[in-house]
Amino acid sequence: MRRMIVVGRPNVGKTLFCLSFAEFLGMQSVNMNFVSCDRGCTSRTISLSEAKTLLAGQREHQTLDLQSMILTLPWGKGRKQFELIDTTGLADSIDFEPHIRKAMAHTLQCMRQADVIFHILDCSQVARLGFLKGIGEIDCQIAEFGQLKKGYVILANKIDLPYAAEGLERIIMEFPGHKVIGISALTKSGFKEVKEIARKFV
Amino acid sequence: MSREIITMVENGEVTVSEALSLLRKVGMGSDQPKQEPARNERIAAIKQQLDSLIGLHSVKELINEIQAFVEIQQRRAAFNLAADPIVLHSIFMGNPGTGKTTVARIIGQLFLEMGVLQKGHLVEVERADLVAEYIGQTAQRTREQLRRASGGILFIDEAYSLARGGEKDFGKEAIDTIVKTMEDQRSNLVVILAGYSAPMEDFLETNPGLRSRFPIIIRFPDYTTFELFRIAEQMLQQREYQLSKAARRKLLAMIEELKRTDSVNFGNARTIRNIIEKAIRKQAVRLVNLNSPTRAQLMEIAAEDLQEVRDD
Ligand SMILES: Nc1nc2c(ncn2[C@@H]2O[C@H](COP(=O)(O)OP(=O)(O)OP(=O)(O)O)[C@@H](O)[C@H]2O)c(=O)[nH]1
Ligand SMILES: [Mg+2]
Repeated sequence: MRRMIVVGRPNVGKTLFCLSFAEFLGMQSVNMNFVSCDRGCTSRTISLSEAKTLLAGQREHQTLDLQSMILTLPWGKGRKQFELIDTTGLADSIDFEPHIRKAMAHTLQCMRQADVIFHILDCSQVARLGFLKGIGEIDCQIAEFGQLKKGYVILANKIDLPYAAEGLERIIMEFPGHKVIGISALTKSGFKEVKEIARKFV
Repeated sequence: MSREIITMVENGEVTVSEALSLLRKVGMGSDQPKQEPARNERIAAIKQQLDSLIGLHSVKELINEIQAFVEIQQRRAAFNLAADPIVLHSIFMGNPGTGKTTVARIIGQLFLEMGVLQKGHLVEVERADLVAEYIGQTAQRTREQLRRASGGILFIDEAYSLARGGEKDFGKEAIDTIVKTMEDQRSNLVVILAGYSAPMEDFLETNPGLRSRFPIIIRFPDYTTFELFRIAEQMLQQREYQLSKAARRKLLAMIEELKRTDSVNFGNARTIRNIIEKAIRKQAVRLVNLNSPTRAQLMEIAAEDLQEVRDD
């Protein structure tokens, strides 16, 4: 089973993307595995609407566990399973909090083992703060790392927000040679194309 | 190895960015290339060299296509199938410092390994190397360069300057001589015309015969902010220097600013080289009066060492 991992800086919308994408693929609830780096693994079945209010949020580092779920995609005459993993936001600076550093290390570990990387950027940030503040060195490093994988796609998120289109344009310009899809985890715009890509790698 | 890198993140010894860059070097471990026959292995090594150039995605892709095409034409020929003649004369368009010469050199090696060229070396020339002042001498001078390049690549920088000065200019004579030799020496010479995009387009427009003789056009894009940053990092790494955290931030901001304010001339690695070389000198001045600087100090470029460099 292919393992697809969702990475990016804190608060770019990784969690909301995962949950909305599961919804887009026709799920109402998912069995979510929470894999913590030190507290082991717990699992619970949760409705997607509840998960959205519970797990996605304004706070940076809302997500500190790896949250994985098994989803399916149409494949040939039947369907094929894959694992979608939500991760802790990766930041440019070294965090003061040991548990956050640990969670980021855990994310890196998981990135190494993944087959496909969905790299989420925030278009609205780029539009609002300019390229360098809206995107970090970390994003360029993730993009480079992504080339080692079977699949690597940039999802330029929050395209629904004002001026995000400009941000998307800049992202496309700055990541030549990479597939960039403009999406909104909120409105699910662009998800059809994400699904097509996922089908290619599943 | 990768475990240790990840533990360093946990301990707060490196940033995630640094860790990713280290992990990339360690490689993935799993997808090791299979043992290949020697020739393929050498070709793979050359392509690896190409791949390791920062940026230049479209260029790499095109060269991949060319390599595949040549390979298949050769195999078709081996089965006596109709094979297209392999014409590899090319036009390289792009701003200075975008990697044209480097790529030309690698292509030479690639064609050598593929058996397209006998030597694969690169002879770089410009107008003055081809055009003489007196009548009759230009053809001779040009032929001399063509002889040197035989078996390899003749790389003509700012090729459009050959068309400078109109009908009476001897540049035309140089062009005619080159084209004639290309036709005679079909298989053992590759000619590359290089230069800025706009004048090159004009040049081709006014010399319509050239386009068909140079079927491959490779456009070299300006480097992006991050690509330039990584080029800087690579230059420093090769010299065994390192940017401090603050210096990384400052350098990124400098590049971004240069790109924003000077987008016509900037976008090339040369300015980056100047900034880096200047920084290395500044660092030396900063350290020279210290009693016994440590190894770490000797390696570190601080934010204050980075300064604007006027490109003139
Ligand atoms: N308008 C808009 N808001 C979004 C979109 N995607 C996410 N958000 C909001 O952005 C905030 C962060 O979303 P999360 O999904 O929690 O982000 P995350 O990347 O998982 O963040 P961490 O787990 O903290 O790293 C939430 O308030 C979301 O509602 C989008 O496409 N459009
Ligand atoms: Mg999250």
